[in-house]
Amino acid sequence: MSLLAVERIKLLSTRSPWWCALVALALTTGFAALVSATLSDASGLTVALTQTGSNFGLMVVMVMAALAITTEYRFGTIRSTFQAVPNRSLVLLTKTTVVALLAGVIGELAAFGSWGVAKLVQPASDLGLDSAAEWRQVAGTGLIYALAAVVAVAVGTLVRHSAGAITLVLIWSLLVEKMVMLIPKVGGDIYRWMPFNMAGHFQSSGLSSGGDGTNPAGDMPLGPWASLGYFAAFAAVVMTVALVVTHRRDV
Amino acid sequence: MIEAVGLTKRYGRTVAVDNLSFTVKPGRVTGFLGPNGAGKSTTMRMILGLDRPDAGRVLIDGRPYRELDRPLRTVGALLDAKWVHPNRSARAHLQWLAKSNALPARRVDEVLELVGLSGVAGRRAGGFSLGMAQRLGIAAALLGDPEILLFDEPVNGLDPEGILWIRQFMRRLAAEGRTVFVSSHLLSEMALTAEDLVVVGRGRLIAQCSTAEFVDNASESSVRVRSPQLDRLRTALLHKGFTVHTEPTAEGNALVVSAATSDQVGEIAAAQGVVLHELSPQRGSLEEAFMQLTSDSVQYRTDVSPVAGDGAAQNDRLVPAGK
Repeated sequence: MSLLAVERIKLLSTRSPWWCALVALALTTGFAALVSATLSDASGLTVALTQTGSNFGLMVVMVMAALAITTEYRFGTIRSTFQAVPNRSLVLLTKTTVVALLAGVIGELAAFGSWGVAKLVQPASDLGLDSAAEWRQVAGTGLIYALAAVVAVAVGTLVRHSAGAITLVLIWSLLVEKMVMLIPKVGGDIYRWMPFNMAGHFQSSGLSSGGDGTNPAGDMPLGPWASLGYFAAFAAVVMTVALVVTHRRDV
Repeated sequence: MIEAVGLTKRYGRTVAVDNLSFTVKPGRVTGFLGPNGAGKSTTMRMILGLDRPDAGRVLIDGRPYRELDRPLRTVGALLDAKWVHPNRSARAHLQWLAKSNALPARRVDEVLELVGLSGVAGRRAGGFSLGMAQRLGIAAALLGDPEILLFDEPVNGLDPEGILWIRQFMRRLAAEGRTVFVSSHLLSEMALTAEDLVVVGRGRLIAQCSTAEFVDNASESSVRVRSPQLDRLRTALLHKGFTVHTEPTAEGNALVVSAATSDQVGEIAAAQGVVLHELSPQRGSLEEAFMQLTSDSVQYRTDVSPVAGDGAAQNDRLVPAGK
């Protein structure tokens, strides 16, 4: 338990997590305000539309998560940490837990904040969370942010450099997954199994209007919760690689 | 008690630490001496379990570092004062360290007081001068009130005031009965602080002995004499087989007799009835001792050192090896 406190102190005694959290919240709620304000007709506003900025928040949260570990390598505090607690796997798992929890909280605040802001801008709109899909769309954001944070911490642990790690997670989730579709014949099939696409499917599947209920790659192979499980398994695999490598590596 | 046995670390084709064995005894300051690139920092990191040795092992009180429970309570170390997040306050830096080893929160204020940083505890560590950062590093090392302390080049880059402070601090720690293992390439610094020495060059052990022994055995002692009858004395000394050279001084020329004691020179002078104005033994410095030893470690090994030679160290020249 004291290790959780250690990582909490470390994370929150620097400025970057606070800034990242603020930027993530500003971006998501800002987009929600923008989208709902530009709609002429309140009935056109859907729950899915309020979450337009969700992916921007996700990017910022992944940057925060990657920085949480890469700055430790950058400033050498990882050595002090391993000196104080030689069980490296325990250290990294605890750090991942703390970062993922914070990411999850940011995700929930961002999602419900966006939803609330939209309702304030368009009070006449029908934004009730009436279906399981709509609940996943809003409340599921925290789960996706938390798991994406695990991926980002793992990548940060492996790459150890802030710029490299951030570039990798952002380019991967924003660009590489979609570019896979350009591969002839099999591209679409591969894309359906891409982790961040799966994460998106968890939130967007089953939405009747506004969201991209239809995946650009066609029918998704898994249901929403299985997709989330797939994304979680992906995060676990990357994390396991990071743990094994860190255990063996000199710091 | 730190015990290294056959410690070896390679980086690609460079051997940073080569079959290094030594022990650091409790209750005294042991200097870890060698030029830059001799493998001191690498050895320190291996002691702390940060780097994995390619061969051999190093034990803290009989156990590998990674198996220590709450290691800050056993070993405190300052390897690099810059290993602090620049935007974190000094207090926050110590707080997470204390928490990690279940040390009470008041211990943070105690060590801040001890190193004289209480007044700036809330300031971000990135704004600290090198001397202040060094003090913060020492505060972190002392946090768990450990029996064993490791310092890697603690006076590097400090101003004279900082150097004096560190020097006195280390003596105080040793006086409290702790084991202090401090590395340096500054030989004069070691002469002032360390009782025992572990001397390395190019990753290999050159000597492990007391500082006094190191200087006595390794440096050639000489004697300086001044006399109004210098020529007679020189002839007598050369006749006895001593090597002599003339050294001009403010009081006229003096003779420096190599590899001699003041007893020998005084007796020769008396036998010749020569008047002496000065008869002073010249102590070799640690620098001289070091240069002499490292330029020909084979000779040293056979003459004075109890170090087990491996025969591979023929005519080592101390060229700083890369990292």
